[in-house]
Amino acid sequence: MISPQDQIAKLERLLERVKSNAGRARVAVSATPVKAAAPSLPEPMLEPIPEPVLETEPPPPAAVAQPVVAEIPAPEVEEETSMVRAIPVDADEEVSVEMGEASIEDVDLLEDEIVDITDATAEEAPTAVIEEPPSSSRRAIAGTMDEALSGAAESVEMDEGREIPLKTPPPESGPQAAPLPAQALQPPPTPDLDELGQPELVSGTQPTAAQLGSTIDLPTGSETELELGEPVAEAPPVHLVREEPLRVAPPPPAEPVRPQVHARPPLAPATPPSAFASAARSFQPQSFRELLEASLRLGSD
Amino acid sequence: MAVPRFDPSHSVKFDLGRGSVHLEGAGPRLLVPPDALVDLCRHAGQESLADFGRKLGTEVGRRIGEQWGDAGQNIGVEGFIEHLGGNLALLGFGSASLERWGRALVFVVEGSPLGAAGDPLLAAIFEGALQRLMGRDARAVVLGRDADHVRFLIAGEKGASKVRALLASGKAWGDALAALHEGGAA
Repeated sequence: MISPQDQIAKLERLLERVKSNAGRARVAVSATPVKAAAPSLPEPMLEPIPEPVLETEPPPPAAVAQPVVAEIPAPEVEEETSMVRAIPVDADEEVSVEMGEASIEDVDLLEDEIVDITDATAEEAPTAVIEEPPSSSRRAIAGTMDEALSGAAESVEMDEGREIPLKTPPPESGPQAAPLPAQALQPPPTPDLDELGQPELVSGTQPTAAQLGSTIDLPTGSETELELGEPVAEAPPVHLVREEPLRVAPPPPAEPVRPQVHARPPLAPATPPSAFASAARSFQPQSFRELLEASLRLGSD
Repeated sequence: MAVPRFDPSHSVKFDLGRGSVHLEGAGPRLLVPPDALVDLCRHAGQESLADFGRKLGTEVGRRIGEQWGDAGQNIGVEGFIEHLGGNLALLGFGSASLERWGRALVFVVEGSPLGAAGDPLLAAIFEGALQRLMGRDARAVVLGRDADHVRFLIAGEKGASKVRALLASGKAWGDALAALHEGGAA
């Protein structure tokens, strides 16, 4: 069981060796994890890589020059990226670093065989165990450098007769952060109304791209009152005319009922209303007998 | 000498032991139902009814004269009707009052238990009372009647005949009285 301190020491030595080999390598390939970069870039067609033999013997630090590594960001554990690149190493110099279950092998490969696997599949690297390629494509592990070179030459000769699909991008290009499409993140330009002149209807149902997302501030109207002309009396359409219940205007408040009075004409003051009334006023009996005698005389004259 | 006011105190006495009712200054009286009296009057004839009524009136006049004394001849209108009405009330004939229409003397009786059928009897009572008190032959003519009131004109023989004729012609009792005053009655 290897202690974590040993693993750390091995990794440090490996890093130093990588740096030294990078100086000799033609191009240092950065393994910058780009997650959201370049969704439009074509995915590289990966081909199973011959699995090198891994040994734990670290390389001598002084044997290699210090490489120039272009700012390799320290990969996070969860986003750890495995990479394989060509490093000219002596045949007897093999480095193997064990990283838990995974391992990084540093072998000498041809430039054509440099495979950059720092693509979108990097998400699977941290926890995934490196699957072994199918046995049919497995190549025999060269025991020496000469055998490896000869095997590589044979494979090149075998591939000359057929069309080799593009496997990896050229080393110069390397994995780069794909620039975001400028037009996708920028709002559409505001159309110049002066240049547009008359509106041009492209589609009767959908607005044009120039019309989307743009707001045009219309000039505010003056606060002067509008003079509306008299409404034109137009008969409503037949289908809008409906019979409404007859609305009878409420009768005005009823006036109090008053009789029609015909005044009686006044009597002439000279005409006595009745002789009886005058007689009643003139007769004032002093006793019952006087009244009785007057009453007995009535009608006797 | 002033005429005393009508005083009905102790006017009627009931002697239950003897079974009699006494009217002060008049002797025993009978309490009879008015309907029976009306039926009797209807079947008695006009003259018998008039004699019966005049007897009752003469009795009333006598009692009033006893109350007045000698000063009764100069009694006033209010004094006369006070005593006449009081005595008729003691007999149960209703409440009597007096109206003067010009020179015409009109008695009014209200609440008579005899109704319209007893009007000739009431008229005979007034004639008998006036005969007894005033010594004058007068005629009481029914001018008109409503539900509870009846009016009697006191007139002479000629005047009574004229009024009856006017009322029979359809004239109202007011017009008949007016005509009687003008002397133009038929």
